[in-house]
Amino acid sequence: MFEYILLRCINNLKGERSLAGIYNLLAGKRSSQTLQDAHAYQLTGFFAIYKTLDRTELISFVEGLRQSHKITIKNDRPEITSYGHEELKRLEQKWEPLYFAGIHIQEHISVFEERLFLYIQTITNMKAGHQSFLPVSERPDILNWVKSNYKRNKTNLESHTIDMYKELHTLLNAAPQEEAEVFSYRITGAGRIGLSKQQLADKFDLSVHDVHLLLQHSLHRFYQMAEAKPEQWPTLALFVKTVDDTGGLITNSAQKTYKLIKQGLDLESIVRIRGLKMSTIHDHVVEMALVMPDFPMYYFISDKEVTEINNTLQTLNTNKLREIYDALQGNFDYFQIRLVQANRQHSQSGETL
Amino acid sequence: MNDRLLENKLKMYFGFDTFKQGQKEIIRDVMAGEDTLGILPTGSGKSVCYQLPAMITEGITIVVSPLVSLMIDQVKELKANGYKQVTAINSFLSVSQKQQVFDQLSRYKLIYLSPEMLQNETVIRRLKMLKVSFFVVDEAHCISQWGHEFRTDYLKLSTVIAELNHPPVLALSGTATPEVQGDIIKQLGLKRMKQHIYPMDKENISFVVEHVENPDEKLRKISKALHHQDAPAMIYFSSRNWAERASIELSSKMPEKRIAYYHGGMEQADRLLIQQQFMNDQLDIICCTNAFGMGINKKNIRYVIHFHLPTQTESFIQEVGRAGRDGNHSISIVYYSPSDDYLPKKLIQSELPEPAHLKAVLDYLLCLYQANALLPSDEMVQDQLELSENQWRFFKYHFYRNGLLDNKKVVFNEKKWKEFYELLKERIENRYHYKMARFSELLTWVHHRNCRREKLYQAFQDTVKPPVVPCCDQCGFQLHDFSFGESERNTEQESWEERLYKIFLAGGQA
Repeated sequence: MFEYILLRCINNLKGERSLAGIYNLLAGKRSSQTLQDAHAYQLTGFFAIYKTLDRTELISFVEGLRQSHKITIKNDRPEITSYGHEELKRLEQKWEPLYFAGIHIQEHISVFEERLFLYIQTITNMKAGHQSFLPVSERPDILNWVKSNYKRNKTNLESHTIDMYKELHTLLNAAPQEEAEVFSYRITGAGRIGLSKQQLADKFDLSVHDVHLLLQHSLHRFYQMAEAKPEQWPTLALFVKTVDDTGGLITNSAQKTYKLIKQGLDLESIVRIRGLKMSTIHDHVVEMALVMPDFPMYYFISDKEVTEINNTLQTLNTNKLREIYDALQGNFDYFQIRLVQANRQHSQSGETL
Repeated sequence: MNDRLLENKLKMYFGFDTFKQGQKEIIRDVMAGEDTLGILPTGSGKSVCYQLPAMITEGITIVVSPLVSLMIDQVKELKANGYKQVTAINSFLSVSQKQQVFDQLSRYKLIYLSPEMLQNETVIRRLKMLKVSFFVVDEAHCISQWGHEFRTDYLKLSTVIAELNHPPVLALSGTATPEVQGDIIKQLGLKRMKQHIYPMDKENISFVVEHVENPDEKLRKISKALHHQDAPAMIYFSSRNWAERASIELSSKMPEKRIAYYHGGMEQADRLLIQQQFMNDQLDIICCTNAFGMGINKKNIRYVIHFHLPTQTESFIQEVGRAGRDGNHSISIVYYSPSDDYLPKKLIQSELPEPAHLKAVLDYLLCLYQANALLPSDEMVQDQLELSENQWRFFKYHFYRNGLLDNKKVVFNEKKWKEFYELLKERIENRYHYKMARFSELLTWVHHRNCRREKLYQAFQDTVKPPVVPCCDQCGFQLHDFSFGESERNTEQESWEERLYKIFLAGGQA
C-alpha cells in the first residue's frame, strides 16, 4: 500500500514538487503550502496518514522505486515513468477504493484509535471477569473517557460487547484480507495482547509501512462510516460522537464559546472576543456542564468548592437559587452554584439511564 | 500497631499473608515516626514498605522517584489492583492536568513526585497545606555522587524535608554500597536514621560468564543455550540497533521461539504491547536496552543474559535481580568479547560534559550577564547549547552551588569564574576516571577466577548465603548440559475471525 500511495502522490504531483513535499503531506505538516498542494493535486485524503514516517526511510524507499525504474528523480523532484504508470494502474486495481480522508478527520484519528483500543480491552476483560489489567493506553484523558463510557454501558455489557463485535466483524469482512488480519491482531482483549507493528509485519509478511497504513485505513473507514450513519454503527458511533467532547448537543453559540475555552482563554477574554455579555457566556458554560460527559469543572471551580456547594444542595434539596445563595452565606456567586447544579443534574441523569 | 494487625492490613490491601524479609521491620520503624534507611534487594517488595503505611495512616505520603516511567508504572499497578487514591505529578502532565491534580490534592493518599517538581514553589506551597505523614525517597542512591545514577536534584531534598516540617523520612534503595549508604544519610541531613540493610545476593541464581571472540559467536551461543527449553529470557544490549538486529537473527536461528525487541525509540503503543506480551507469557525472549525492566514485575524470568555489560556492578546486580522472582532456579549469563569495552566507554562519555562544553556554557552565561537577562528555561538552554539533559543538570547544579547563578541571575566575577573553570574541569575529569574505574571493577569480575557469587557482592556485604542452586561456572556449574525442560506447545494458527471472536465472545478462553 505504501508503494501505491507514493506512486499516486508522485503521479499527481507531475514532477512539480520535491520529495520533501510528499513527506510533509504524509507526515501532516500544517503549513499553508502543504495544505494548498494537497488540494491542488487531489491528495487531501493522504494528509497526515503517516505521522511517524521517518524521513530517511522515505528517501531509501523512493530510491528503491527509482532503481526499479518506476520513477525518475530530477532536481530532487520525483516523476513517474510509463512503466511506473503501469504499476500504478495495477496497484490501483489491488487497493482502490481507499477511504482515507486525512484532511478532514486526521485530527480525530489518534484519539479515536486510542479510545477504541482501550475500550475494546476494557469491555472484553470485564466481560471475561478480569477486573484488573494493565491498560494499552497511558494518556489520562483517554483513560478517563473510557472509564466514564464503560460505566454508562456496563449494565448491558453482554449485549453491548456482542454489538461491538458484530459491527467490527461486518466492517472487517468487507475489507481486504490483510487489513482484517492486521486489525484483528492489533487489538488487545481478554487474555490476548495485541501485536506491535513490527510483529504484525513479520506475521503477515508485510512491510512495517503497510502495517501502519492498513491500520490507519481501517480507522479512517470506521470513523467515516460511524460518522455518516450512526444508526447503522451505534457502538462505533460512540467514539465519533464525543471526539469533540460536546457531541453536538449544545447550541452553536455555546460550541464557539467552548472552543475558546479549550484554547485556554478565560471568560473575560471570551466576552471581549465574542462581543457577548458575561451572563450569556455563563449560560453557555452551564449548558456544557449539563450535557458534556467530561466537562472540566476544575477550569472554573475547585474540587473543594464543588463539595461545599454540593453539600448545601443536598441538605436544602431545593432548586431555588436565592435560597441556596443565602445558605452559602454569599461565599459563592450564582454562576458557581448553577454550574455545580448542572453538573449534578448531568451525573444524576446518567445514573438513571 | 501490633504485628497481627499489620498482617491483616497487608492481606487487605495487597493480598499477601506474610511480610517478606525486612518489610515488617522497616514499616514498624516508619510508623513509629523514625527516619529510616532501608536497603532491600530488587524484587523484594520495597514499595510495600511505604505503600502500606501510607494507606493506613491519616494524611498524605510523598514519594520522590527519579524516573517518570517508574512512577507511572507504580501508579498504574496500584490502580490496576483497585487502589485509586494515588497520583503522579511530573513534567509530562499538561498545565491543565496538573491543575486538576492540584485542586484535588487532598483526595490522594500517595503522591509520586519527580525531584524537579519539588523545586517548584507552588508545589511546595500546596504540599505545606496538607498533613504530610511520610516523606519517601525512592532509589535513594541517586542522592550520592558515588551511586550509579547520581541526580543533582536529589541533593536539594534535605531543604524540602525541612520546609515540610520534617515528617518521618524513609529512604529506600536496592543497591547501595556502604560508601553510598553513608552518603545518603549525610546528604539527607538526618542524624539518627534507623538502618535496615539486607543482603542482596539471591540464592536461586546461577552465574555464568562466557568469553567469546565476536558478536556472531554470542548469537550462536545464545540460541544454543535457549533452544529446546521453556524459559522466559531477557537479553540486555547497550544499543537499540543491536537489540533489533539480535532479535531478527535469533528469530531465524530459533523459529519456534517467540522473540521481540524493546527499546526507548519505539512508538509508545508498541512498547506497551511488547511489555504486556512478555508479562502475559506471549513472548519467550525479549531483546532490550535498559529502557526495559524498570517496574517490570514478571515472576518467572529464568534467564537474564547480558549481550553487553552495563557500566557498573550496581546496574548489573539490579538487572540480574529481575530473574527468578518466584524463587525458582534462574540463570545469569554474560557473554563477553574483548571488543566490548568500547561501548560502555562511549556511554560514560556521553553522560558527562566535556571541557569544551564548559567553555561554551560560560560564554553563554557571560552574554546573559552583559544583556542583563535572566536564565531561560532548561529546554531552551539545552537546545541552544546542544547539551543533554544530564549534562545541563550537572552544570546548573555547580553554577548555583558556586554562586555563578543566583535565582536565575548571573553573578559575574572574573577571578572567581577563572577559578571555577579550573575546578570544574578537574571535576569532570575526576568523574570520568571514577566511572571508568567502576566499569573496570565489573570487568575484573568478568575475568575473576574464583567463585563469582562471592566476588560480585563483595563490595556490598561481608558474606553470601549458600546458594540453593548450582553456584556459578567457577564452582562447577556447566551451562551446556543444562535445560529447564520443554513441553509441547500448541502452535495452531488463528484466523482473524477466530481471534476477533475469541476476544469478544469466548470470555477469554485460549
